[in-house]
Amino acid sequence: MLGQHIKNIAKADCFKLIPILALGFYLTFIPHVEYQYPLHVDEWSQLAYSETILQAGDMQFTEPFHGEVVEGLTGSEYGLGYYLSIGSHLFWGIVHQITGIPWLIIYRYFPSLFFILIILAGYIVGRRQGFGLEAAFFTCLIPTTVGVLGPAFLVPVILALLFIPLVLFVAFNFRTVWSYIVIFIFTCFLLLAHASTAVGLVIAIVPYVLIALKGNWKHSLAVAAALFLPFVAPLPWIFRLSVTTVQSLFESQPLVEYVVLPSIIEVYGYLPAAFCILGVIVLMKRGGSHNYGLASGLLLMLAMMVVFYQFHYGVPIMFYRGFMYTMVLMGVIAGAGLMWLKDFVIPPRFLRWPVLAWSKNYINVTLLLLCVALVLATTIPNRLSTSYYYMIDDRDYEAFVWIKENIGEEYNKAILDPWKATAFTAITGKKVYSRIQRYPKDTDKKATEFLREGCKDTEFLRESDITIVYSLVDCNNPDLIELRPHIYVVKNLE
Amino acid sequence: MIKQIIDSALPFIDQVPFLRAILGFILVFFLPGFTWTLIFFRRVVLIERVVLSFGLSIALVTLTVCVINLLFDIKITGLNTFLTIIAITAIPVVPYCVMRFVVNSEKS
Repeated sequence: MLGQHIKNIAKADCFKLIPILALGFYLTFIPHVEYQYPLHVDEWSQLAYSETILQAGDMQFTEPFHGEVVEGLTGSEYGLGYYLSIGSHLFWGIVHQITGIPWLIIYRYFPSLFFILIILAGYIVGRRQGFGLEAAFFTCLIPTTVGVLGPAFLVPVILALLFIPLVLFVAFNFRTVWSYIVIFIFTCFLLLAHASTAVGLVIAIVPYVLIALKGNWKHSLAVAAALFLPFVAPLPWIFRLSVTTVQSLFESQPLVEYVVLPSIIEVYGYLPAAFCILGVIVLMKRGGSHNYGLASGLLLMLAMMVVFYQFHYGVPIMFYRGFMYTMVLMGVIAGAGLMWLKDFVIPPRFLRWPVLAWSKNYINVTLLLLCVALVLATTIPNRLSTSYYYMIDDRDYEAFVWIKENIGEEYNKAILDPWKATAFTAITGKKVYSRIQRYPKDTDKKATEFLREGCKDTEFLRESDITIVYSLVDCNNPDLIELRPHIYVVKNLE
Repeated sequence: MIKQIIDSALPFIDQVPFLRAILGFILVFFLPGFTWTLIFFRRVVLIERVVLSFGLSIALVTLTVCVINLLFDIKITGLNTFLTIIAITAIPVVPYCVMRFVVNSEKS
């Protein structure tokens, strides 16, 4: 009785999911093992915004880095596009506010915890089709790189990524009014948390909506309405941005050089990609609106990526973030390919061969284990050798915390290495003269030059309202007082 | 009244940060979505309900806090957010109980 019970538990999917979830946790935790601070500039940026929203207690707040007023969803001189991930900043702010978990812990452990949710979402999409575990396995291999981001970073696209498989699951499996409301809620959230993912979701699901029109047009229209209504509602506010975006579709866009763009197949792995191709074939052979929809969604996404990469037509952000959407779809579909291998039946004519006849009961399991081992043997070293940049070190962090705790509000604008400036604002809450977000600007070069020359230009400090200098190079300026090694404030501040 | 209760409970919870982290995590990431899944989804297995609960919690908490701040100018403070989450969690419980009662009485 007890033995049977243990056997049942061992057979249950939940039990088999544990090592897959553990693997996903491990792979995304690799960059954080020896580094306790947020890694990516977008993580520091998000931290600064979350902290600012909490300080202001409002969605109308002062932009944390330079001090311009942000009028919430109604836009600012930065352009509305800059704030299309405000929901993500708000959500992590709420997490910090309610749980009381320190920011450094959130940014170190929550990417891995959140990735577990994404893997589970991949699992439930495949589960009802019979390839849940396989889909979970390939979803957990989604890589992280500095250029295209990934689940090891706590950035808006990763918060939003969870909702692509969730919406697919709801659209595929439910036909009630409630399910359309859920799709509507998820799409609204995506528009607030990471608008380009909302567009990515539409690209992924449109083929399904079109294919399902034939069999169940009411369901198709309801899904389409739930997806598109959230885009229509804020149109009066985002009309200008929408027109500009649509216009940009017809103009050739340059590929941005500063974003390191790996090829999807190379980073995701050749074997998983091969299983994805197999998965597409399996789904197409199986037929049905779900399977056709899933495979066509991936193909449409890939087509969008290829058009931008090859012909430079499209919206750049959709291309750069599209890697993530593509890989989550590839993960689920590769699961279908692995399922085919697991369920593969040797044709009877081959069973005449003694070796195959003897091993026919074990051949599927052996092939499956061999493939999984091969995938892991190529993926894990790849993930371990991926390099990430570090924005600050322990010395910088301690100095920034000291500034936050010891320097008053009258000193509220600093100049420092522009590369570290985003982290500086996130930790101290003080403004900066210049910071590098994507690539160095003129002001970044000016800041670097000022520091390299020993911070001598007092006129520049006064003109720019700079009151704090953080420099690892010694400052030789009588108008500056050194409060602590590397930390200076402007003398006679009135 | 509610503020007094929370003010008296907060020092205790603050003294046990681990407890606050666990309770807060459940409150933000799971509970609101879970109660809504009881209304939205009838025929789902446990793991599907759990994953949907996480997704719905994240979406509902963020959207509600954002909407009440923008429309009613209610500040995003710890207390307001906490009460908002409690409200989102509680709202579907009543219709769910009514639905259960109706189903049970029909059966009997």
